Amino acid sequence: MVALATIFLAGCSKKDDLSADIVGLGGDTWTKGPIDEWISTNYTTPYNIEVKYKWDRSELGEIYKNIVPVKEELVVPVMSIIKNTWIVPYAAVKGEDFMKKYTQKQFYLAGSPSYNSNGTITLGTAEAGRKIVLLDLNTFNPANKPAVKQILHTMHHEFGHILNQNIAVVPDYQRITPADYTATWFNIFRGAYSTNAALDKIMYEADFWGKGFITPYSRSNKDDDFVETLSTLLEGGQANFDNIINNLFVYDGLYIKRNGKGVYEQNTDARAKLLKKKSIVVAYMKDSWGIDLTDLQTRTQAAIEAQSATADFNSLLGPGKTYGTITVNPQKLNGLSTKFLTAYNAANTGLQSGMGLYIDNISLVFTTANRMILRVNFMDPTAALSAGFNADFNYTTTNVGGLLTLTYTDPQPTNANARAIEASIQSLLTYFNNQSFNIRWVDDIVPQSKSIFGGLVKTTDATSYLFGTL
Amino acid sequence: MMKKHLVYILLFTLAFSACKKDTTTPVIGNVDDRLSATLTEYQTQLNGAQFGWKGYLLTDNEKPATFLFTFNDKNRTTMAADYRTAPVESSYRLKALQRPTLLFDSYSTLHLLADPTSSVFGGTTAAGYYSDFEFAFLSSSADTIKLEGTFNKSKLILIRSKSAAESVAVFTALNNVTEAAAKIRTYFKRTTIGGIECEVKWDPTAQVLSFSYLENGNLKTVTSNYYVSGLAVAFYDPLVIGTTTVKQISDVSYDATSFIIKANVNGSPIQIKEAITPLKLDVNAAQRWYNQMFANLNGTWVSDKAFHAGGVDDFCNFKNVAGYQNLWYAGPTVFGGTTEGLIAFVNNGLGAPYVLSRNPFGINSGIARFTLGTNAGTFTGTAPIAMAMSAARNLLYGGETVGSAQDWYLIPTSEDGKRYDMVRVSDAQAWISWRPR
Repeated sequence: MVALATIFLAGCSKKDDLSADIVGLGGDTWTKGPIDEWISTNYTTPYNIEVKYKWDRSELGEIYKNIVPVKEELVVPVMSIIKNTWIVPYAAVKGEDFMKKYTQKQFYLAGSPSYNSNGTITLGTAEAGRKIVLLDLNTFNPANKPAVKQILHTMHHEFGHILNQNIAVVPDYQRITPADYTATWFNIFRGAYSTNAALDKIMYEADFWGKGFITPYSRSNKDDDFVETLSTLLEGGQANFDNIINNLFVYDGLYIKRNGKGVYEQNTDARAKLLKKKSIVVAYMKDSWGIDLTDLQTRTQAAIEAQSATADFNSLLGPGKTYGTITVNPQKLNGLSTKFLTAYNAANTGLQSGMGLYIDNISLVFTTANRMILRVNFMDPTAALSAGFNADFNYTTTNVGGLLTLTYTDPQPTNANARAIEASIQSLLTYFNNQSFNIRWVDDIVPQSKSIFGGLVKTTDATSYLFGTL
Repeated sequence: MMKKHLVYILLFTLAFSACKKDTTTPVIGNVDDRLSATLTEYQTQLNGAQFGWKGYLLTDNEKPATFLFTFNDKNRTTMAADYRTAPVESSYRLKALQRPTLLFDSYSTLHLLADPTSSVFGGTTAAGYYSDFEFAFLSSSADTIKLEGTFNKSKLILIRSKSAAESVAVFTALNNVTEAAAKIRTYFKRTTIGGIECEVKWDPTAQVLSFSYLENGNLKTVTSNYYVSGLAVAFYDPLVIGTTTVKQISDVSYDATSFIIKANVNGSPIQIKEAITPLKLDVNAAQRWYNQMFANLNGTWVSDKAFHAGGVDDFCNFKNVAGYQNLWYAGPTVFGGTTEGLIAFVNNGLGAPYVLSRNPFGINSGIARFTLGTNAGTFTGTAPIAMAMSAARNLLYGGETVGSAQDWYLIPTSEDGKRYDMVRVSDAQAWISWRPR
């Protein structure tokens, strides 16, 4: 047996020639052009990140799909935006070495979306902190801010996973909403709840925001919940997050529940859960990584705005333009000026004491040239919940480059509701009459609120202003 | 005991035989070396064409396209296509995948056909036209390279352009042949290849040619998509007619005095001539067509393009009728009782003027006879619908007066028997295509 064993051991000492050169099969290199140089300078050399934009089917998760490559001319614009709004803000807060160490190491870019058999399309995938596949880039347009933010959301989401995998978030996070994680989170989409669009929206939002989750995807599991909260804070900005919180109420069908004076019942449970999640994310970034989330958020938002600038609000407001109406509902907004609220509350009190009605909200309608309609939406507390009544008051306007001057139109249009409450809400009507306002974004008042809130600021008194949702 | 011995013997055998070292070296060289050399050869071949390559693509759903490519040695290609003639630069690469493969690896004109977003260039959602941009080399000679898409199996043939003039003419060559084909006035066309008389069906839009011939008394049909290179009509799949294999029909020209297309097949001259009868009439087709009408939705046949006559598509000018959708030959479901006739579907409705045929419908020796029974509505004047319906009536019945009659062949054009072409018997110069609604 010993002899046999020796033969076995000794017999098989093959000597292969290991010095031979390995023959490359070719096709993995090409003559470098300006795009390759740009990638090398901006990604590969500084951060050791490979950006593959030339077609390689094997990089796709689903190689059996009809997908086409990206247009060469879009590679630099896309990757430039990603660099400026993802890498640069992190590097500014935490230093270049941090990004070199932790970023995912490969991007793969493709031109068309991936069409799924259920009728949906896939816009991107990410593999375990290693590789990001971005699809549908041939429609990329830097001016299309939602599309830009969509890509950034993916970037910040995946990078959040990397951070969380290196240093785990405290278990307290997953104890906030332990019962509501679900594998079928993808059933949360608009149209899934009701054929009534308004009701569908309410029920859709109640299914994640109303349960204390920042996005439908965050209901997937605790890890995605965590990184969705992080990426929404960074990509969406603070005003976006706060606006979500401030709109969480308890609904009865189509309408928010309220008391006899029109005070809304808040969804305090969901508000508390989302705020708790946010506070853990902030603490995690600070304690685990030494990153001031507010600083990072400010830089990220500034970078997005720099890359994909928002047009001046005045140029977007008016008949046939992007925005036609500013809706002001003090119960859903934080930060309205004391001077405006004084006028609003006085009108509300006047209406309650005088007629037993209350104001629910007002809106400023700019859908007719040279006119602003002040639409006062009021309710009868003794009646069942409803959309209430509208009273329209017309102001004749002149607008010179965003400087809006309002004059209470005389005579007013025939409107029985308006005539009925006109006397009771004088303080509100007077707030606008014979006044000049600047039509503008209010991101100096509510930071990072462009495209969320648009406002009117009195030209003679910068401490007197109002703003609302668009 | 015996067992133990056996085990030892086995182990010894194993021990000594297991260590046989393989010292052979491949006579023809290292596989990877050879593959690498092949790619280099292809590369040299591609960028060595001074005037570029004419490219002929047939996607998997048989959409044809013609290209002009130039390749340089820096992984850049410039291409123009018949559907987008402005030259555009993009990148390409040769890579050893399962087979040596030509990759068009950034978006280009070629990718439009493969784009799965149908709003970009048409086709179906998620698939486009089932085209490719990764092509494996199947074969190559100095001037011809045949490739196959690795994903959708579309076909791409590259032919070296010999001159600047040839490159310029790459897109007009197809038009010239298409025009020649359109000059033959009759529905039926005949030629003789290798001593066998063939009926020719030519669809220049889809770039499909088919030849039918009699074999033991039965009609046999061979069909292929084709591309046009210079004056040659070349088949993606060679056609076998009798014992003759036809790869292409070369030197195609049209002789206007004799109404004949002249060409060469395998070095022998052929003529494609007009014919007024089918090579073999399906004598039951007319009756089947008539019976199928009752089975069709709304008991009707529908024609989108209406009549072709005297070398003109839409001879009756239905295109001038606002809201025209299609022309119907319908039965009692539309007209009631036992009546049938010709009526136009305009703005989602049927209305006057229309014509009723005389009953019973006549079929004699496989030939259908339409006899005018009733004119309903106004056929006179200059209203587009009146002029179009009047022209259609006069074609179908061979006249405008009650009792006028015209004979028509019915030629099945689909396997399922639900599509027919109807051809005028007298001269085969008028026809119409019918489909179920």
